[in-house]
Amino acid sequence: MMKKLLWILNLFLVTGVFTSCDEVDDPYEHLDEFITDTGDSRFNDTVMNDANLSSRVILIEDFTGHKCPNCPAATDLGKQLVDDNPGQVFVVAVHNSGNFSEPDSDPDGKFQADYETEAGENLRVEFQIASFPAGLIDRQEWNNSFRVGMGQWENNVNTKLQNPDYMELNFRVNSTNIYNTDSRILRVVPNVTALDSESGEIYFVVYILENGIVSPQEDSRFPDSTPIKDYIHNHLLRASFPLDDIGTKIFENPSSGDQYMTEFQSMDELRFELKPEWAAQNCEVAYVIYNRTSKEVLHFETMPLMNSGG
Amino acid sequence: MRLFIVLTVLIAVVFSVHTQAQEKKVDLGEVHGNFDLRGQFYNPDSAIGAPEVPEKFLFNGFANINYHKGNFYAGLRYESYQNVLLGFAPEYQGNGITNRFVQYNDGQLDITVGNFYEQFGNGQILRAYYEPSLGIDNSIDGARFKYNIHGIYLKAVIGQQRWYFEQSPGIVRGGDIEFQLNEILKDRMPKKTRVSFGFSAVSKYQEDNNVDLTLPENVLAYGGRMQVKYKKWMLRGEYTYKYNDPNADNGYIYKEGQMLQLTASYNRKGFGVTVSAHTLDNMFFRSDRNNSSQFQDMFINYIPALTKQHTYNLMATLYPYATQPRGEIAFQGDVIYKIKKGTALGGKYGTTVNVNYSYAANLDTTNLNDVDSIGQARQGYTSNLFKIGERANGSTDQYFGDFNIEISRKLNKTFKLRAVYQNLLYRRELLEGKPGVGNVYANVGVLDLLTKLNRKSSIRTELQGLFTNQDKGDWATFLVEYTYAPHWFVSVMDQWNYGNDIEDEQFHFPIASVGYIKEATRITLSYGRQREGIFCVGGVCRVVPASNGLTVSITSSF
Repeated sequence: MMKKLLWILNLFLVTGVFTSCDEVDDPYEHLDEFITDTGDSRFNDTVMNDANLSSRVILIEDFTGHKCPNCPAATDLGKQLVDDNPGQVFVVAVHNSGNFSEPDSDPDGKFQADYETEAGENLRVEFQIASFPAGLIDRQEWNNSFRVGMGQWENNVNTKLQNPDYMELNFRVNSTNIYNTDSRILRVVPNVTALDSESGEIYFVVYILENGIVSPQEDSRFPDSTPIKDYIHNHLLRASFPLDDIGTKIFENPSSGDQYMTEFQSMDELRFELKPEWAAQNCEVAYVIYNRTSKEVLHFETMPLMNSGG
Repeated sequence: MRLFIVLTVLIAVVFSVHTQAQEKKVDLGEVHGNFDLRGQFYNPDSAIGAPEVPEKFLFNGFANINYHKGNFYAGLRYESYQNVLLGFAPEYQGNGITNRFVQYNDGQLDITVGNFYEQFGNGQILRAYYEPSLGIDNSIDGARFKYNIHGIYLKAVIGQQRWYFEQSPGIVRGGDIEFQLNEILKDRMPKKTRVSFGFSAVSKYQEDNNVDLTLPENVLAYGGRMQVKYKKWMLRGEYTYKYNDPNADNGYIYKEGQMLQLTASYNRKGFGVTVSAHTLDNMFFRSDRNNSSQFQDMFINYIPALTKQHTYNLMATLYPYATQPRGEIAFQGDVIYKIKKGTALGGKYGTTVNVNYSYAANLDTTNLNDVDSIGQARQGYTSNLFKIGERANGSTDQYFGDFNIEISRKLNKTFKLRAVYQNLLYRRELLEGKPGVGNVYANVGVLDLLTKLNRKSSIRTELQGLFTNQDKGDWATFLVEYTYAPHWFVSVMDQWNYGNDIEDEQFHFPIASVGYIKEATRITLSYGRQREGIFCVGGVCRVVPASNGLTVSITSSF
């Protein structure tokens, strides 16, 4: 009996050995688990906004163009305002200024780069900006016009900065940005809390800004009027989403404490695919929250697109 | 410290039992074992590339203690490395009981739990063995069942292999069945014919934790073998196949592995001829797929070498061949003939002539370039098991060639002479892993004269020369060994690289040894320079680094 049992045991083991084999036809089969419609998740670079803002950031949308000779002066002024008021002022370069921002049609022309955006053009038309340089400052009217000439920027900004009520934060944003370095898809998962009551429809829009772009720029401050070949463009608006400048509606007449939340991989997740020529490591992501009824920008903040970037 | 106490208590108990057994004449079983202690003082010698050893003295030691009573067996091995001798894996560090087992064996049923060694067939898919001179111990820690009945031999094993003082992450499972037809059919088999055949299978399991690839967690290898002996003839063959086993050795390709080995021989009094051949492809088979250590860690299988294992040091340690699990075709022919005594050629006492030739080359392979991008099959290459590969310049992709002839003759009652000639081709680029380095072509001659001075004492002298235009050029070795039986021997040897193109590196490697043997105990002291070389056992090799110093070796068994 014992011997029979041992035979059975041995045969059982041998049979077990023969059946213990995995043949793999596709060495990369497991990658399917990681590959979603936004790319291979192992290439995800996640940035959580941890700015922990203590006050409102004043947004200057500087309408400019690489063929606009007077625009670099406005850019420099904007930079001066930012430097003088760290963390309270931010300038976005919107290269939509008609002839001043169009790329050269001549293939041998000096201005081949195309920095115009659909969002910038929509804003330029909506706010009737026809001469340059010019800016929108929190998209608020100033002397009965949304367009603020550069001569008024400092006065406008200082007025706002001196108003504590104005500089109070209107929203707290705790969001997550996931950028996939392989697919170049950026996913934004916003979580917004209203800190005060507002009337009107509140929209959330994401800007992608790029820094360190080197390309020619006209500058009238140089008498020989030849373009500066290695001009460095910073905070240049590359894209705005969803729906270009419009964004997504997050509140209507919110009260203090109201929350807008999005789940990962949900329909409300905001997605955008970066173009190959954009240097992702030099890009920033900016959140713009505005009142679609009054047009006013109520909240603005930025963060690097990637953990090692910005 | 705890291990030391356990060991001390165990030894005390064992000796106590032994002593009591003797006093009371009660059969309490038998205790046997052996010790092997080797230590070396190292002197700095930068000229020959001997590294400075901070500890000055290094030590390898082990003791096996085995107990046996009736059908019951048990044993353990204690190992100590303080620190490990140069040339062995640095993972051998510290002390511990590395092997322990209990076994029941009644001749028909054999059950072992703990560490055990095992081999299926000639080891192509499983060979767990211990070779301390190479630093190899791939014992399996687990359970083994062996059972035989009426000529049918069955084995089943399961466990994890030893990895220095730890264990392999993979689990090895295997089964083997062998049929000895002469035992099964008894008188129905033709006389003077012996036939056996067997089948074996081994599967290893290792978790797939690779983020880049989908790896097979269970890898199966199987094989069949047969041996037929008829009168003075013998024919033996074994074929094994291994399923996809991506691993660090093969660059994580999913190609199958295969090996075929055939041996035929004819032997009669005074004459023997053996011809062997094997062809193999992608036969790396370790229980840890991520290990590609040069120290042969966790190999489940063993590829027998088809080259002659030489004993004279210039032939054995300068350019020996290590089998290539990546792929090779090899064959060996060996003829031994004893010219009768009393003839003109044979002389008064007869003359033995041994002619041997071995050859190894790469397989014919075609690269598939399918491992660089995601989505590809990662088969790596295709191969033809029965075709020798060619190099880019059209020449044969030969790894090794060794023609040697050995003539032994007793001249008279005082002198016995042995003369050896070897012609060698050695693919240094591949076998030493030095890309771009050319082949070594060498001729080696050895004269070995044994002079019996009287009934107890003898002197043996060796004169060896290796002649080559490559690598470090010509070498000569001179050895004198005096033996005073049965206890003492003294030897002096010098190896001289007189043909080195760099005159400053025409080094001498003198070494003197003295040994004392009493019954099963042997004590050896050696002092001198040790040349960097390669030490091989059965086609498995390790690099012996250059050193200078005093070596002490004590071995004993009881």
